[in-house]
Amino acid sequence: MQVKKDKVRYVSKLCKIDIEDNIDKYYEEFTAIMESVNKILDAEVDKDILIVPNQNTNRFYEGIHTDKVNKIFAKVENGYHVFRRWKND
Amino acid sequence: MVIMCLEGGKMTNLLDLELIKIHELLKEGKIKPIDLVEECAQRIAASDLNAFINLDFEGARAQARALENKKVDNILFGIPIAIKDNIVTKGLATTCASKVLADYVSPFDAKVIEKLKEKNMIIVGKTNMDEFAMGGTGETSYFGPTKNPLNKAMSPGGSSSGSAAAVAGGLVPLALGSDTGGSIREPAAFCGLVGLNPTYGRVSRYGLIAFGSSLDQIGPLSRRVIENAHLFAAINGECQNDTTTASEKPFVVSDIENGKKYRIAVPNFCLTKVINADVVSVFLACLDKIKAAGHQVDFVELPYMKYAIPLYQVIALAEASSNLARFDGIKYGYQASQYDNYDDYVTKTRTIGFGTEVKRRIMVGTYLLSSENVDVYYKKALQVRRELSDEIRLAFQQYDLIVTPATVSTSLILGKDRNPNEIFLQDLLAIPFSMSGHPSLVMPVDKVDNNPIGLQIAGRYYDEKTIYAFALELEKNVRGDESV
Repeated sequence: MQVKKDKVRYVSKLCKIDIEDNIDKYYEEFTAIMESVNKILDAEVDKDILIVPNQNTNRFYEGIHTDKVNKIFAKVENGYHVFRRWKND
Repeated sequence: MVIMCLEGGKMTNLLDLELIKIHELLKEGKIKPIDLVEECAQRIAASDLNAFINLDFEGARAQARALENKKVDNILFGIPIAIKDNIVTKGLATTCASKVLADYVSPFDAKVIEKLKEKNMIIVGKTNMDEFAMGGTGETSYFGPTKNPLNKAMSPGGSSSGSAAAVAGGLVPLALGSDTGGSIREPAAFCGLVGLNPTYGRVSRYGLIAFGSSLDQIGPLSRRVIENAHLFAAINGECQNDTTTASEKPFVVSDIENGKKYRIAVPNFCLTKVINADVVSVFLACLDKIKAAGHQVDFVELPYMKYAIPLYQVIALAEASSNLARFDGIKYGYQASQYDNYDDYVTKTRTIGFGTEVKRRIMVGTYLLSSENVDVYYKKALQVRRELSDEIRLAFQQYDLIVTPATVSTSLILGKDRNPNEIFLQDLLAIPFSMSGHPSLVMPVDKVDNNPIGLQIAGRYYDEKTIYAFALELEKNVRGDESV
């Protein structure tokens, strides 16, 4: 998926980072990374993922080791890391 | 004053000795910790590697003198160590090699620092690194790039660039680094060192400034395998301040069993054309020696390894965008001096405070997490991560170890303009084990044109002892136990 320059500008504002002085360079590099990222879309997957909303922290992702997670979420398999995601992201 | 010792029929400086020899000299009272600190001070002063951001010789000398009346009770007693500058140290600035934290002094010690102090190790300074550990050459540091001591035109690798350069350059015997997707292992490979990325959860991340929380690990860098094991033994164990640490029995060096023959898997992916021909050639020669030593070596398919780079780009950058949201100039760090309102203040603080690489990664991570993309990219990445982790775990049901080359090429030239994906590519073979949380160690096995080439050895969860046992044998039989 091609990213448009206005989208990069919008994202920079969300991040509170001003890139206007060098927008073309950032856009070029952003596009290069996204070209690489897009390769993950080709991967075939047949396993679903549990994404747990974190009620305590906004936009905080955390890998939790399984032996602890198992005590909290019984459905999580051994050896698997769960990621918490704030549901309003 | 630098003390010389007779070693193997020739005079040598203390810091060039094996750790065990230094320990024996300390134990016999022939040298004192202050002698080691002074030699470090002299070498660092004479060095142009730019391996350190902050030094604390006043503190190091005071600690060394305080140790003179104490019993030498462990192999790390009185040994100087360098710490990557994203691990917080009370009273000594921790910058993450960023302008945004250039003057930050932590009010507490990281758990690993507490553990080193319990062993009476002496911290001489904080090492240079890629800004917020984002980079693979050490060049994104606000404090300038670090040089590779083996060839100063080349990068020592990153992001633990200063820690690797300090050890390889003989400035300190040991160092701590951190690894999110190869940041200990790549510099270890480029500098001819031994570097361990432990099982996720083995070492406390309390006090490690977060980049990608589900991937970040602290680990040791050393010149020799056994020295690496001693340092790892000192820092591992459950921590009440880090809920991701595991309650497994901590690793101790005496767990290492010698003389076993192992079943070793080699992913076919290691022979793809992405990997430099010199690296593949050295790797295959190393496999021959491993087979000749009586180990079983089989090539296996791990099809999800090919997604390592995009997988890392999604997960690490998404986590980074969240973790670095806290650097807004309110509580600590750089603060913009001129602004119109709150938004302007935060924007100016972050725009001026962060370097280009960090800003780019934050933006990509935020984009990937936006509501329209989160399922397309982030959820997909989590699914691929699980598939990759499962296939690695499955391989470990049949094999004791998985070995691969450490990097896709030898060290990179400093100062070259690169496509942003080129740096990620170096970690192609390290990332799969970061994603699955398996431990992996890199050690030097050969050189091409004086550039070291490393081997990566991955093991089952919490099975660092098998990795070390195999690496010790390899060091002795394949490498001839020569320090690079």
